[in-house]
Amino acid sequence: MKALVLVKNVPDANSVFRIASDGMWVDTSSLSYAINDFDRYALEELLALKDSGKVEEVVALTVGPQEASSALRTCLATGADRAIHVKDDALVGCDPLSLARVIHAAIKDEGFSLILAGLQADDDNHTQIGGLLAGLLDFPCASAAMSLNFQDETTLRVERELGNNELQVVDLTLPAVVTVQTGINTPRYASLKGIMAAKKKPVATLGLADLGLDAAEVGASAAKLRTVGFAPPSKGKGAEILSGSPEEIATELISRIRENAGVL
Amino acid sequence: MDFRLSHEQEQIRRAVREVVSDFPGEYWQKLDQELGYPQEFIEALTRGGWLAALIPQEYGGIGVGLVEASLILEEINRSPGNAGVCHAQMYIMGTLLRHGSTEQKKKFLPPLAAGELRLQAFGVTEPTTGSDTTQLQTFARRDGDRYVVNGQKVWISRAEHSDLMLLLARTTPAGELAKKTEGLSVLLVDLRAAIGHGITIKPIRTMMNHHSCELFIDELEVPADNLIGEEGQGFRYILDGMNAERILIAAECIGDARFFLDRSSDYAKEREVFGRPIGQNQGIQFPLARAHAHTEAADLVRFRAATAFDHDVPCGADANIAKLLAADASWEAGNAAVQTLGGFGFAAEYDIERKLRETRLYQVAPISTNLILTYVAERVLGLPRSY
Repeated sequence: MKALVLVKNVPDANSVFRIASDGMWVDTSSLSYAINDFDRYALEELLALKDSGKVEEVVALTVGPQEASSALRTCLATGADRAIHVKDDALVGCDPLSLARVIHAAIKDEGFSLILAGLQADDDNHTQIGGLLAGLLDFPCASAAMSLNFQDETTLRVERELGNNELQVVDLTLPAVVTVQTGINTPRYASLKGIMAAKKKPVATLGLADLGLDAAEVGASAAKLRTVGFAPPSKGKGAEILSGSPEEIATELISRIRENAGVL
Repeated sequence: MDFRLSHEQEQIRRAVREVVSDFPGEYWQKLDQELGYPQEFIEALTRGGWLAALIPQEYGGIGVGLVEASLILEEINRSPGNAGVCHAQMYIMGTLLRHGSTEQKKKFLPPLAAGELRLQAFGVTEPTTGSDTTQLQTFARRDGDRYVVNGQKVWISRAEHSDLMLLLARTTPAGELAKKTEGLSVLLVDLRAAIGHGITIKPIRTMMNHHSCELFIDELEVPADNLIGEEGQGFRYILDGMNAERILIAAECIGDARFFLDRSSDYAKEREVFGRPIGQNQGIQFPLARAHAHTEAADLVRFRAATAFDHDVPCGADANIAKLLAADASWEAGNAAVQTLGGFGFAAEYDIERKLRETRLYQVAPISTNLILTYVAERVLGLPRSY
């Protein structure tokens, strides 16, 4: 079967974050980027399925500017077979629904049986693309997967992480979309051989015209979800910095946890 | 002129950073204390193919150039770790690759690429000859289909952690030579068979955990098939590997310098004295800024040298200058880091003191700073020879 992983190039957590002058996003000039951490786990899940023979081809897709191709190259270096890069200046400022429509247009004729994505993106945290894409494809969708197991050729059992460490077990009939929680596996590193082999793997670059879409349908002007403000969280109350020797701080901390949280 | 790295080169940096992130300061501190060898670290690098970078694909390696190899070693040294434990596995095979027979290459390079064999010891230096390699005494006498070797070597790094060793030995007495650079030959020695049967290894305790050894060679038998290239041409063979070594060591020093600057800049931003971060004081800023500038300058020469090497263009001057500048920059950055961290600069758990001990080596080895200055003075500037 063919499988797809959706990936996003996001600001590296080690970047310096400053709010941009228009107050609508962070200043991107001081950012370095890396593949979204959640997506690494989704990719690893597919690569493991390929290793075990369940999946024949792993394709990585991203929507983003030229620089976003580095996330795809990471996927190819790690073991994905080919990549699809959708980029079009008209997509700057599009909302999650439009983004899902763009991805749908890019893959609807590919015949993917399994589509994986990270549960959320480290930057905008929308957690929507997997679900919206499943809706457009009329596929079932499970989110926050903590394990994936094939029951038979067309049934995928997924353990979903709920609050309070509870796991819900669901069966999906393929084709399906699953969004993956971190910690589901241990993502492999790219090897030197993989990095060099990735140079020869195909990357298809598609614009809106190639997808038969119009900027008026999916661009910023069509957005029904718009950013109207962006600010750091206000400082919380009740935070306290304990002082003393490490031993004194540890003793005080344990007593606070015991008394206030009641967990010890 | 485009100074940017390619996508693959950037990926190499990132990927090595990921691998080394599994080996934090505590790992290296423990090894330093126990004089241990980082087996797990070597295995992780081997799994990713990193140490096979320079071995051509036809022999099972990756076949990238020295620019890429230098990025790998730089990133290792930019972490709390030290590439000195494994860098030779990358480049010593160069002598075999360039001068070995097809049979030798087919026999040894694939298992080296797979990490099944280790060739990371090179027996050159002797107690009485030091940098004057043409005067070495260890003698390999041809006896039918074998050589019988007698002599002594010193400062042979990783000999205890290597399966094979390249050995430079005299095959013609110095008195019978027309040219003093001839009469030396390179032999491939199987240490697994030789230890206890002609070679005795004695580790040397040094100021850092560098796994350096003394070798006593007594009637060691080496098959004549293990002669690399032509008899008597060994000095020439090792010389052309030295440029690669110098460029790679320069990259390691640049990694060290960046480690020191990363750590001390972070510390100087956080550490508050008299109500403000110490990094706000120019007394702290200037040494770090100066060391950074010197590191960047060394880095440019390193890339120029590595690019020349990869294009088969003479790179001796740049390789030497890169190593000189980089070793100076890492020492300067380490010194500035100790000053910035104050007492913590001396504390083992901060990694600075250990890496400062480690980077100090590169003022002395694999070629001393003075000999590089001599090379530049005489070979580049054309000044009269001093020796």
